[in-house]
Amino acid sequence: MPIPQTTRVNPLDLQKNIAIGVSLPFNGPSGPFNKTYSTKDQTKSNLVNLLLTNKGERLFNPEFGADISNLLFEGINEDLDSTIIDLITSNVNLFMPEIQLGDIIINEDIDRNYISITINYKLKISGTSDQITVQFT
Amino acid sequence: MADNKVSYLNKSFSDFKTNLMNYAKTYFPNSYNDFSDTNPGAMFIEMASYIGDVASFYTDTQIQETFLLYAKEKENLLALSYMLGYRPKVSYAATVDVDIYQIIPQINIGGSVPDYLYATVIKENTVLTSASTNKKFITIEKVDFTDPSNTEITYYSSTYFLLKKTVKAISAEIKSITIPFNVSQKFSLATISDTNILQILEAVDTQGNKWYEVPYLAQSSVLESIANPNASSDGVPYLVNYKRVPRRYVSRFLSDGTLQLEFGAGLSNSADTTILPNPDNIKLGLIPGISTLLNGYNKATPFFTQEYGLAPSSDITIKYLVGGGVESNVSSNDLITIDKSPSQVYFPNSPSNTNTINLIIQSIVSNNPNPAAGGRGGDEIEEIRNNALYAYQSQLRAVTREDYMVRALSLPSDYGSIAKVYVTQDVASEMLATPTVATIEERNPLSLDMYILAYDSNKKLTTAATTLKQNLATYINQYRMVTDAVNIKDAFYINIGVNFDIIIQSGYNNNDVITNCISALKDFFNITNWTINQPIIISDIASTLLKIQGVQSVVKIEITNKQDDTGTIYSKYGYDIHSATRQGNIYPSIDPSIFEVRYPDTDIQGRVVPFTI
Repeated sequence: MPIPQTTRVNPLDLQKNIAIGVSLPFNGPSGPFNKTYSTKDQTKSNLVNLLLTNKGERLFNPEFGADISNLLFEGINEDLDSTIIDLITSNVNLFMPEIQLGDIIINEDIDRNYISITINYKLKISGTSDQITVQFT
Repeated sequence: MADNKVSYLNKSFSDFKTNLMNYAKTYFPNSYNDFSDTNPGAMFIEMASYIGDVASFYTDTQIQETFLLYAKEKENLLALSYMLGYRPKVSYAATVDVDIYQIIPQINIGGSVPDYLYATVIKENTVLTSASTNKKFITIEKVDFTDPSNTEITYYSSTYFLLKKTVKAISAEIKSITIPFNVSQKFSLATISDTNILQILEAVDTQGNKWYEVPYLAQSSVLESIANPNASSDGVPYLVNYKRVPRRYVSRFLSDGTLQLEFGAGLSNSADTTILPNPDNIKLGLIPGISTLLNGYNKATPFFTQEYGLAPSSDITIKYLVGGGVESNVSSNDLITIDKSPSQVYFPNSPSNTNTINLIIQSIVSNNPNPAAGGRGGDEIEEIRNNALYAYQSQLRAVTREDYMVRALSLPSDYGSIAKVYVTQDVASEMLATPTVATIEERNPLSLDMYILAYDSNKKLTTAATTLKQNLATYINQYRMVTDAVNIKDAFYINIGVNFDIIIQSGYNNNDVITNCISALKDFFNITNWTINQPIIISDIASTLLKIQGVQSVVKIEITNKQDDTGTIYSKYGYDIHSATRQGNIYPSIDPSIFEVRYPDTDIQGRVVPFTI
């Protein structure tokens, strides 16, 4: 007898009318605080929040954050990409164990002084893949 | 949300965060479910928790700062200590004994004696300067070379004697400041922005009125010194009296070490008797209305009177002392510069020989044989706390007999000096017929008997003068509780002599050992160490003698009574030493008395006896 195909679902996703949390950015159509109704959307906001937070910014939680913004004032060299990837990997594993990181693509534009980071990841429970891009200028 | 259960017991950040999360889980299950740290909403929960934590910290701190035992901020501790009656210090002055010398011509009156025509008086507050640190000291009493008592006289040359007197000095300088007061204001404040302020010496306004420092503005009277016309016979320079002082102020040290003065509230120049509430003026200032039926007097009335002292209306010049500190503990032989200006040194007997006067002025020198001690910085936090707790306990009132004894001994020396004091319940009032100065009715069943003795000019015990007793009664009155009565009476002093026989070890010189023994007994019977009703323990004397090198054994110790019917050489009261001896102890009489070896050089006699079998 063939094993039936199953799909794992986060229990929070079972009821579509129950909000999960608060999304980023705080400027949605219904006011500063916009609710998310799926763990996928919430995870995206959470990952952005983690990447945009530097260590020491959160009250009573000084280790929280990816500390990437601090790298903006470092010189752009061949080690920068690996440093950013190391920071993202270690902090995501620490603070967001519910996702599995995929490719991390870093684009640097020296003339325009910005770094663009694209992260591919997958939710461990449901296996849903997603991608975010964060720009640091 | 009125029915929602809110926890009011949270104090820390983690408490608040946990409870806010539980609150969201309970009351907003459809709005918020992701409680991970990465959720942006967690940031807001943490911010709210932070505010709660800070608010509870301040609540705790404010409560803590209201208790003397826990307060940490100096400003709060100062306020609490003033409230409890302790006045903190920002600096402690070093004190030192300073020898002052002057030469004086010899005059032949049945032998060479000092010619006191040329004796000087050096005023109090004369400045002495340290040679090594340039620190200033001032003398705290005048040096009167015209008074032969307590003067060491030695030969200086064939025509001059050298006089030496010792005076106490403190490490302080006198400064002054004028505080402008153009318009009378109730409870005016002024600050003396100086450091290491020790105390205010005087405050005088432009009209010459003296302003008095009081512990609190409601205290309307201060102790006043009046020159005693019988000072020479009594040995008491001043009479103490209470004086009502409408011009008064309080002073408080602020946390930055500056001194703040607060003056009174009375704006009227009229006498209090015309302003204090009476049937004619008691309703002044009230708006007619129904409230006057129940509240028929103006509560502000006392504030327009002199009840809290007068408000100043003209400039006040304040003289104050600054100094102290650890660095003021100067070494010995350091205070060798003395201010000899005419404003400080004068000849009360107005001699005419200018050359001799100049020579004597030049001869005035000072020196401190011992280093200054006691100088240090102000009260630390813990000192303020503990001193305030102590002040609160005592409240400056005399409650126990020890309180009365300490108060009597702390009588300012200007009003006479108490040498010995003993306080007991009034059990002997019917047995004694000694002159009594009572604070209130003598037959009070709660009365105490305070037995006192004074020193004469040679530091021998003597009966206290009536003036001294009256000063003491007035002084103690401010500390006495209403229900207490204090009968101030004379204690008795019993003069004794000591004869002892010792055997000395071989190889020691008899005279040396006897001299050392007598010296040790002089220390033992030093009157400073003896109190009223203290028995003589013979074995203590033997022990003292046996500690002397060369003493092998003490054969005999005999205490004899020295009595003089006239009371001029020895006490006029005799005492049966033999009957008072019980099991090696010589007890004083039932009537409070003290043993005194009046003339140690002659009253202590020792003998070396041979060892016999």
